Amino acid sequence: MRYHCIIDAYSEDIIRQMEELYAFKTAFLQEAEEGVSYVLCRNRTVVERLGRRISGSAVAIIAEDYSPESVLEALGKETDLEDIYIFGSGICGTELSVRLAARMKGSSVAAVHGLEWKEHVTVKKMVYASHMEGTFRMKKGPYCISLAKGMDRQELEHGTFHIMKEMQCTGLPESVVSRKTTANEAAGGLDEAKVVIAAGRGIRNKENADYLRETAKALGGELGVSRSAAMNAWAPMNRMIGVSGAMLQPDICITAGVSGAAAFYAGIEKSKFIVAINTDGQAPIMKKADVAVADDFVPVVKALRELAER
Amino acid sequence: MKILGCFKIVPDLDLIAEEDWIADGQLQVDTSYAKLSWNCFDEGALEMMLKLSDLSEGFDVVYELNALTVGRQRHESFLKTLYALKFEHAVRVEAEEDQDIRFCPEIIAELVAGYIAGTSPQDVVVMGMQSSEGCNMKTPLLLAEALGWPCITEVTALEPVDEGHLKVTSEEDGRTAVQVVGVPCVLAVGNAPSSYLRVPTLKDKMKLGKKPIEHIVPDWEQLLEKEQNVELTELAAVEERRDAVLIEGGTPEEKARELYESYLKGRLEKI
Amino acid sequence: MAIISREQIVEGLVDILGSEQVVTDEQVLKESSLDRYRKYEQVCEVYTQPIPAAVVYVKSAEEVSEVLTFANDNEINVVPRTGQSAIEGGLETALKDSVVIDGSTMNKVIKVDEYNMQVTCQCGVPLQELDDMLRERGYTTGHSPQSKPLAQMGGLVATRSIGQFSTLYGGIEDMIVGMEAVFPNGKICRIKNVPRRAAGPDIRHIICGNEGALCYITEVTLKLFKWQPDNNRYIGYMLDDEYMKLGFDCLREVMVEGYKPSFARLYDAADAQQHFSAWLPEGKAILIWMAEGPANITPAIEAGIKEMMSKHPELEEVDPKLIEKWYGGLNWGPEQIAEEKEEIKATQNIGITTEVSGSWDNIYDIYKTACDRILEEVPDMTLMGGHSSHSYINGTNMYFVYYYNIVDCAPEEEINKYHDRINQIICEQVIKYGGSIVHHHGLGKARAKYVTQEYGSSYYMLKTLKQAFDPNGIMNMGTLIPLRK
Repeated sequence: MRYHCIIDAYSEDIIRQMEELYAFKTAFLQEAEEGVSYVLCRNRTVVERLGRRISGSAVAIIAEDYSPESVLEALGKETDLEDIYIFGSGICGTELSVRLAARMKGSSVAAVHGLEWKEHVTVKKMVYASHMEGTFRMKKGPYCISLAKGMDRQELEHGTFHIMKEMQCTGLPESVVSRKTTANEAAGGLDEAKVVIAAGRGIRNKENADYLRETAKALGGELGVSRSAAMNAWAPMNRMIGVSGAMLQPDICITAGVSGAAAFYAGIEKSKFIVAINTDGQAPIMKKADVAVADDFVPVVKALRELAER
Repeated sequence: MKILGCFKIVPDLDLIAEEDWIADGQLQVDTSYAKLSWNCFDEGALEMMLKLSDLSEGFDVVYELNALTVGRQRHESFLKTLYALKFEHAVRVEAEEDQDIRFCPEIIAELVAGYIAGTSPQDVVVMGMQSSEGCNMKTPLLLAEALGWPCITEVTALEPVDEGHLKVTSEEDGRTAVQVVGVPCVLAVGNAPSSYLRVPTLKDKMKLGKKPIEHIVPDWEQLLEKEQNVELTELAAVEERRDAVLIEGGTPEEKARELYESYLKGRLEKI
Repeated sequence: MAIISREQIVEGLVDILGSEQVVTDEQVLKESSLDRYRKYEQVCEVYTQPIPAAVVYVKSAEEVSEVLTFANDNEINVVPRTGQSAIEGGLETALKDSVVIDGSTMNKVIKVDEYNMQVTCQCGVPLQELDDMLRERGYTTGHSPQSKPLAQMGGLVATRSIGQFSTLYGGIEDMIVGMEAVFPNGKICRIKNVPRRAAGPDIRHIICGNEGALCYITEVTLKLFKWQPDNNRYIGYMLDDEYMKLGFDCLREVMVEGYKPSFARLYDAADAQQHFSAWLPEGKAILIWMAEGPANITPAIEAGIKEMMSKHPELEEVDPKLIEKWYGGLNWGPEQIAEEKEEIKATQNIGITTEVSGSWDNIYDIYKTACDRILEEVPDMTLMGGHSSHSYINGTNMYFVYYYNIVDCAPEEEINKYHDRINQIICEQVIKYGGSIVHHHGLGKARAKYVTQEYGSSYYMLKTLKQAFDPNGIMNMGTLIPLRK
C-alpha cells in the first residue's frame, strides 16, 4: 500500500496545496510508502518551474484546459486498487476524489482532516455543519480523499520532481460546446491576512460592510464575512469565511455581528486571538472568543479605528 | 428539456442547543425539535431552475421542472410548495425515521439514478453540492458517475440556450467558468447569491398543491444491508471555548479603549 | 407645522445640545422618517414620509425639557423614540421638518432595589440588557416581548407593551411603579415609587401608553420578580385546525378555573407550521402553556391544566421537551431583521402582523371572519393565520400573521394595495364584533384613523388629554389622533 498526492497546477494556489499535502503526509503517513505525485497541468514546464516538490517523482497529466472528465480518464489508468490517493482541498480535489473512487469501485471521503492507517483506513472529517466530528472507516481501495480547507501547512523541500511519465489527456468532452474562464478577482490576501475583521449578518447592511473593510485596511488587515452576509451581497463571495469559504488563521480576528454558527466558526477557529463584538451578550460567539464586547459594533469599531489610527 | 431538482429537507442546526450535540448509541443526534427548511444549497438549486424557466420565453425552449426528495412523510409539504410553484412532477422516495441515511450518499445517488434510468428519464439533474447534516459533498458526483453523465460543480447560474443545451456559470479553483454544455448532465449548485426560494400564493397552493405526489418505496433493508464502502464509526461533539473575558465599560467608546489598550495594541504592534 | 425654517430648527437645536448631539446626515434622517409599518418602503429604501429636520440625542431630562420648550415655542413636531422597534407607524415623521428625539443614550440603570423589589432605569436602557443583568442576580422584570433584543424602556412604556409571560406578570402597565416624564411646555414631572395609592386617578396612565403624543418618558421604575427558571413546566396539545373554537375555549377554561400560567398560547395551523414544522403535522393547531414560579406551584398548575385538558378527546398531548426547546429560540433581533430584509428583496414576499383583542364570546368570530375576508378580498396572499398569546379572565388577544407576494406594485403603492387593506379588514371585523383593534403594538399612525370607532364616546377624554397637555400640537402628530387631511 502506498499513497499518492494529486496536485492541481491549473490553480494559482499550487504552493499552498502542496504545503497542505506535505503537512498532511508528515502528520499521518510517516510509516507509509511514498508513491508518486500526479500533477494536473498544461505542460511539463509548469512542473519543472515549481522548484519544489512533495515526492521524488511525478506523473504529469497534461491538457490545455482542466476538465474533470478527461483528468479522470487519465487518472483511472494509473490507479492502483490498494493505494491511497490524496487530493487537495479545492473544488477540483473533491470532485476528482469522489468520482475516481466511484469509477474504481473504491471508497472516498471529502474534506478530511485526519487519517489513521492500521488495519483499516479511517479518516476524520467535520459533519453536521461543523458541529460534530465524524470518524469514517473506508473499506475498499483505492482510498480517495480530499483534504479539508485550511489545514496546517509545512514548508516544502526545494528540488524538482522527477517527471517519470507524461500523460496527454483527451480534450474537453463533447458535451462542452464552448467554454470561457475568467480569473476571479483575488480575495485580496484574505487567506494570508494577519488581522481579519469577520462580519456577520448582525452588521445589517452593505454600507457597514464597506466601513468595516476600510477599518480592516486601517488595521493592516482584511475583511471577511459570514455566509449569510455574503449571500446578502454585502461583500463579494470571495470574502466568505467558513466551511464553504475561506479557512483562516490570522493573528487577530475581530468578529462584528457574528452569532457564532459552527460552520462559520470553523473558518476562524485557528486564529491566535479572537475578539467578539455583538449586541447579544449571550450569542454563542461570546464564549468562543478570547475577549468579548457586548455592544453595538458600530461605535466600538469606530472608536477602535480612531485609537489605532492615532 | 426535462430537469430534475433533487433536494433534502434539513433541521435548522442553528437552533440545536449546545448541550444537545451528543450522539446516541446509533450515532445519531436528536435534531427532531428544530424547524425544518430546505437545505440551503438545494434551495438555491430549485430557485435557479425557476429562474431558468422564467427566462425561457424568447428561447423557444420548454422546461419541464420536476423535483425529487428522499425523505419522510413530513417533508411532503415542501413538495406541495414546489407544485404550487408550477413544478410538473414531484416525487418522494420514502425513508423511515429510524434509518440514518445522512452518511449514505451512495444509496441516495443509486436511488436517484434508478429513478432516472428506470422510471422517468431526465435531461438534467440540478442539486446542491452538499447538505448541512451529512456534509458528504458526494451525492451529485456519485450520481453523475452512476449515470455516466458529465458533472459541473459549484454552479452559480443557469441560462437557456436551446432544447439540447444550457449556459452554465460555475466556480472553479480561482476562476469562474461560463460554458455552453449539451445535455444530459448533472449540475451541482454551490454558493449562489440570492438563493432564497420564491413563495407560492395560497391560491396556487390550493389550485396546484393537491396534485398527487409520486411515492417510491425502496427496499431499505436490502439497500442498507449491502455493505457501504464508507461507514461512520464515531461521532463526537466539538467543543469550542476560549477565555471569553467580557470587557466592561459604560460606553462603547470606553469598551473600545479597554479592548485596544489591554488586548490589541501590543498584538498589532508585533505584526 | 414649524413657524421657523428647517435651518433655524437645526441651529436652535445645536444651540441647546451642541452639534455632536444633533444629526442631520441625510441617510439617518431618511431612515428616521418611518418605522417597520412601512417595511417594504424600508426594504426598497423608498421614503414617502416627510424627512425630519434632525435627529437629536438627549442625555438628561433637562435636555429633553429644553428641546421640547424650543419645539413648543416654534410649533415643531417632535417624535420621541428609543429602541426603534415600532411597527405601527408611531415613529413616522408625519409633518414637515419634524425633530426626532432619541433617548437611547440615556441608558443608565439607576438603582436595583432588591429589598423593595424594584429597579429604576433611564428611558434608553435596553430591556434585554436589563433583564440579563437582573437574571444574573436571580431576578427578572417579568417582561419579555418578542422585541426584547431591540426595545428600550421608554418605548416599552410609551406603547403599553406586553410580554410573553403576561398571563402571570401582566402587561407593562402592571409592572410600572413610578416614572418621570417631560411635557411639551418643558415641565418635568416625577411620579413617586409607592406600592399603591388612592390619591385620585392613576396619573401614571397619562404617561403609560401615550405613544409620544403627550409627553416624553425619561425614567421608569419597574417591579422585580424572582427568576427561577428551573421550576418551569411546559404543557402542549395539538388539535385539528377546525377545532380553533375549542382551542379558545381551552384557554378560557384555564383562566376561569383560576390558574396563572405565565404563558398561554393557541396557534392556528398556518401559523404553527412556521414554528413547529419539525414535528407538528400539517393542519394541526397547537395549545401551549408554561407554568413559572415557586417549585411547589408549577407542578400544581401543570397537573391542573392537564386534568382539564384530558377531558377533551380532540386534544393530543405533545412532548413538553419539544415546547421547551422551541421556547428557547423565540426572540427576534437585529440579525433577523437584516436577514428578513434580504429575503424580502429576493422573493418579494413580505410578512406582517396585526394584534387585536376580544372577549371570549367574540374572539373566534373576529379571528375566523377576518381571515376569511382577507383571503377572499386581498390578492397574492401566501400565508394567513395567527395565534392567541395573552389571555385574561374575560378574553384574549389575537395576533394575526400574514404574508403576501408583492406583485406589479411600486414600493410607494404597497401600503395601499396590500398592508392597509388587510389592516382595514381586521379593524372592521374587530369593531363589528366588539373587540379592541389594538392589543399591544400601539395605535401608531397606522390605526389612528380608527380611533373614534375604537373609543366611541370616551374619545372625548383622549382628545381632552391631548388638548390639555399638548395645546400647540407638537407631540408626535398623527399618532393616537389622526391628522386632519
